[in-house]
Amino acid sequence: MKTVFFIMLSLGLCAVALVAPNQELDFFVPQGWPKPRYNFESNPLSQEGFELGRSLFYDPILSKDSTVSCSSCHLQFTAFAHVDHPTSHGVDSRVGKRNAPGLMNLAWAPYFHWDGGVLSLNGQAVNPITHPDEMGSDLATVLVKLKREKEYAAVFKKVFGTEDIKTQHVLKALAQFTVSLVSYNSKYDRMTRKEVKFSEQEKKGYALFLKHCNQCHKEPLFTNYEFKSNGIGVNTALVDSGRANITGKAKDAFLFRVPTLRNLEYSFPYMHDGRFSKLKEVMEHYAHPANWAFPISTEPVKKKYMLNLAQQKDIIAFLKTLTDKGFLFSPQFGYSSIRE
Amino acid sequence: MFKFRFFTVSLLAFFFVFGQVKVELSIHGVPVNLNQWYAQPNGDSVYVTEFKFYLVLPTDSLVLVDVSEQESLQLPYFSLEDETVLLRIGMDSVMNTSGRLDGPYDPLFGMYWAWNTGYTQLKCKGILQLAGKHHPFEYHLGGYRSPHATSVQKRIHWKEGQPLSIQLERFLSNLPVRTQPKIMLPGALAHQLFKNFTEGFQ
Repeated sequence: MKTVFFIMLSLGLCAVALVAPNQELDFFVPQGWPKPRYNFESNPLSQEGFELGRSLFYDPILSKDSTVSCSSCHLQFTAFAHVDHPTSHGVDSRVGKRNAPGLMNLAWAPYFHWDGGVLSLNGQAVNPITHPDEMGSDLATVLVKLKREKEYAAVFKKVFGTEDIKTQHVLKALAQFTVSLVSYNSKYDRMTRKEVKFSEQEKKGYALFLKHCNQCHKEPLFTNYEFKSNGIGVNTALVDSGRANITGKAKDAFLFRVPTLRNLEYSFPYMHDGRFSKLKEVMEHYAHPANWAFPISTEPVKKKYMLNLAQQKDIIAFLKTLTDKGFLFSPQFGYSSIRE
Repeated sequence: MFKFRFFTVSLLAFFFVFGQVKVELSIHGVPVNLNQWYAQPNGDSVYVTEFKFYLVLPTDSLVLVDVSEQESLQLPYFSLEDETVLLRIGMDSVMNTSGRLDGPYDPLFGMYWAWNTGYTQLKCKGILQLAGKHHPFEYHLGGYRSPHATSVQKRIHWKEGQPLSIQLERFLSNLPVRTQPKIMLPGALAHQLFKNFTEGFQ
């Protein structure tokens, strides 16, 4: 009788596990940060959805020949940017024309890509999946490949209630992962929370930063999400008119999104075309207005500042306080696969 | 019981057959099919290999009409106001940026602009033969920003039981195939071509 009871109990527990609802995932908003722009109602987060998105993010199945995944150009330990490549390479070693940006704090971003062409994180992944220089695939093929994988079918059913995987399910799962990439535990963050103190050099660097850089790279996200030209000049090899590609307006020619500076110690190279590989090169550029090329947004020109070498070093010391090693090396965001 | 079943089946059949609105695209009165040459009165001819566009019905539902998919030419039934119907040809800016990815919004249909949030509202591809010379063309007409938004609301005279007629001669006769055989970006020209298309709605 006892045996029958335990068998029934086990079967019951298994059944409960199979139909158990998704575990809701809370999105953490650090203290003092603005309200996220992401519409969580459009894609309610769950632990299972996050894990599905994480697996897809690391799975080359999304590319046309199953060789390239999102993580090929967005590596966790480099702040989900593509270290050491000015512009990233995709399938067939095809090289794109923009520097893969770091992925973090995307819930606060009003738009995506260097030109701000994409307004919704939910739809963003269509671009890298279908772009010939990135994953080079097409959505119909991706769906066919995913449906063939029984592990994916089971998890999609668990998360979205159907084994009939649709484009929106793939994209929303990916968005559940990428929107969860929140970096808020750098030394800077701990300093603002009064958990640690800056060194003297970091303090000096912070003061210089607030004076010269904070207007565009605004705290706490370290970007004002505007489009600017910072005087690095047009890269004639790439023929990229930036924001004007989207708006069609001449005044937007060669403007690019102001990137976040969080984790920039690890997210080199810098600028939309990855032309600078070291932070000191970036500082040298900003420190010497004589080197600035047309076009340039007005703010730095008005100020006409010139930073000496010591000041440049101080700012770099501050910028390194934006490194969040807990984020860069968190197993929570690392490689995972639900495929056998 | 039998009578009830017969009535139900008949009602369903009625709505299946008559409860829909057929979209009929034509060139000089000849129904358009893909992969077929159509002679124009001036001696030129046109060959269309792809033709699809978005419509917003009076019920506010969005449909993608794709000439290669016969089912998409049968629109869900909508009621009339004084023998007219108010249609929106092309999505408005809110629909373009809604972030929806389901149903007709599915990027799978090839209308989603991956690099620039929004949708192509009209895709047309083919060959125009002018003075004996073939000019391949491909137009992806879209954009929701003023002043070049490809979205037009139009009241159309239409009688119940008639197809929704769209005449393509103005659109196809004014394709800038010599100067601009491909358009993939929003802008003044995309806007103008889209407007030509909307003028073909009766």
